[in-house]
Amino acid sequence: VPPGAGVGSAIGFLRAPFSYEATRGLFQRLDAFDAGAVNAALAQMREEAAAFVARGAGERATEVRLTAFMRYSGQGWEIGVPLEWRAFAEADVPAIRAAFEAAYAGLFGRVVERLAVEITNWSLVVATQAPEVARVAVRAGGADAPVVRVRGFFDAALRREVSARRCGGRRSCPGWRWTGPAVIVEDETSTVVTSAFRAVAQEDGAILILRKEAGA
Amino acid sequence: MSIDHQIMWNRLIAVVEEQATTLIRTAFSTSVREAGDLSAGLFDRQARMIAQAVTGTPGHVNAMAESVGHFAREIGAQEIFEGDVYVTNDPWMGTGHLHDITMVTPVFRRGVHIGFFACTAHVVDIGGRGFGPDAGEVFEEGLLIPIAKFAERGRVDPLLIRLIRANVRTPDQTVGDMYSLAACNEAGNRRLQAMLDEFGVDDIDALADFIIDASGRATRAAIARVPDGTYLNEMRVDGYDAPVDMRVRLEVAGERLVCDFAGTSGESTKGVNVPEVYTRAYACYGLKVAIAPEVPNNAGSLAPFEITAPEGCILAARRPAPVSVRHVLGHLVPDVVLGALHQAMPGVVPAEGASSLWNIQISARASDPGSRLPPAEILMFNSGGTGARPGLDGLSATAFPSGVSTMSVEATEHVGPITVWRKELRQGSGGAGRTRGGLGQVIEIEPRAGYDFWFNAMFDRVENPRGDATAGAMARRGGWNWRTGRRSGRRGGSASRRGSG
Repeated sequence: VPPGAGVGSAIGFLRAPFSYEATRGLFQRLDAFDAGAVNAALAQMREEAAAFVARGAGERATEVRLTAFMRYSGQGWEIGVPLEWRAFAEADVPAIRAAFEAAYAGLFGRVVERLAVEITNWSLVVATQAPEVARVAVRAGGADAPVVRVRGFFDAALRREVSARRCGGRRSCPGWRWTGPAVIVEDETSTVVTSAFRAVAQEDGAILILRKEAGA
Repeated sequence: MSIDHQIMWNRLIAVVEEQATTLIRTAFSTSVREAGDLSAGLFDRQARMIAQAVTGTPGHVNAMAESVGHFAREIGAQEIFEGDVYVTNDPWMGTGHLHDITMVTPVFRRGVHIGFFACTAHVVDIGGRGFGPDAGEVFEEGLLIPIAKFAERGRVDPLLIRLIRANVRTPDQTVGDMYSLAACNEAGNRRLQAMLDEFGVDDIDALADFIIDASGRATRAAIARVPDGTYLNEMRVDGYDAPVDMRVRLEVAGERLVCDFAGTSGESTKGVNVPEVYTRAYACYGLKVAIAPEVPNNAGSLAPFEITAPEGCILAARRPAPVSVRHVLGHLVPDVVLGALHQAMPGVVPAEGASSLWNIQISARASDPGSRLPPAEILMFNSGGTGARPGLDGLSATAFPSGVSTMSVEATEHVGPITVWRKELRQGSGGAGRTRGGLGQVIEIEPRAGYDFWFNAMFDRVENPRGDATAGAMARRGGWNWRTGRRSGRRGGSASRRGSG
């Protein structure tokens, strides 16, 4: 459970990369793939997206993600197929088909033999790169966290009401340990630790929840 | 434990709904991907349906509920392997006509067979004369695939695929839809396995018993609330070349309800005949929506309705009678059943409506064969209005009882070289009354340049549009007329008030 999990989407919004998605309807049957037209459209989309991102992100490094929306000819719905962003040539068609079939089989179990494949829409995202995540060592435990009071909750696995320690304050301190049943109350987040689990506060403010029998 | 069972039951509904969505997302025919002419469900290893996708149509769902038993019996327990997929479109073993393909996938858990997923979809073409009523025997109506293995241990049978491709007008779409049916069972299986992992169980027997017992109890209790008695109704509709009388006798005694179609007209020489499985499916649907609408649909809630039609009548046609457009009369079955039930439960059921889907199968062909313009098969579902309801008007251009959606004009035009010039509500077609029937619609279709088309008309309530003769208001005629030049089909919603108006 990361710090501020209860307001995770707000924090995520503030930390998300700057990005812009350019989309374009450009119909291509793979058996009549027009690499020139596709490359021209993708170049425009890249330019449009990069210009927008540059206004927010300045000189920060960016990456490009390309998705083609593809289907078998005759279907009414497409699936998103991630493709490597680069200048395409007609010779890339087998690789594009293979990427489609891999995605299709992943979603629906098996591919359809011998049918024509087509691309209807393209999406190109330019985004700043997320910073490397600093790794911290896992803490397996320390002192029991102070108990504020005792309250009850329904433990679904045990199918009964249990009496739980309620612990907390503004923030948990690294190394604090809770043994379920417990309720960890922080400003934005309440974490319920059921009877089968224990929890340890980590250096980065996250709370690691482990099955009681599992080692850390 | 019943809380767990209840949670898993709810989850199963989500599992089969995902199964249906996969079918829609991968399907080739507009009838499936736009109209939802499909069904999907989970069965236990005794072939009892325990969950059914809400997305779907009663003629498929309730008939498919019976069909899985045929699969289990015909394939045989010794021949059921992990990775198998079974198929049939046998009208008497599946859902009533050759255009509906039913596929069944056995579910395995740690090497043990624990149940089946099944699904049904209407494909655009199955060969023969095409989708229409004009055949004299089922042999003319297309390719009949007996219960067979589409795939054995994960390997698709190449001969079966070649046979089908060689016998249908739309090989890519028809075979593509079979693959999408198999994919939909596969998607359901994946979700089911995840659920079993989560709850730490390895079979669904106890869950199936819980679902079926609870649903059966609730349904029987609902039937017990219907006043005991014998209720009769009859309805005359167009049929193919001679009017058809549909007669029903409902007997309610305590928790028992028997619905018998004795006295109904005999088989037609043309494809408006209905296999009994389809009659049962729609009769049961009509009864259940009025009597026990809140009870989920499964083997437990279907079983208390005892429905029978004498063999050889038009609602229980014998092999090899032609049955291609069995839905035309099938969709009217709830009207006749609800008319009888109205006597027991006044103020609940709607008046008769257009009921039968106004299906049109268009075959577009190049005017000049030398032009090499590709042929196309276009199937369009449309609806007249539903009957007036006790306190409200009927719904306009809405499919009841089949519950399928109208395809969008854009999706239809994308499939073939036609232009839909008009698709509009037909003002005033709901008739008069304290509450009125829903409106029908006017549709105008033209082939695009370079093409001609022909079509199979599958319509009813053209000559016999009226509902109950005792009702004050007379409904307008549904119908179709012709003009030279631009071709136009017309269809009205037909509805009148029933009973106490």
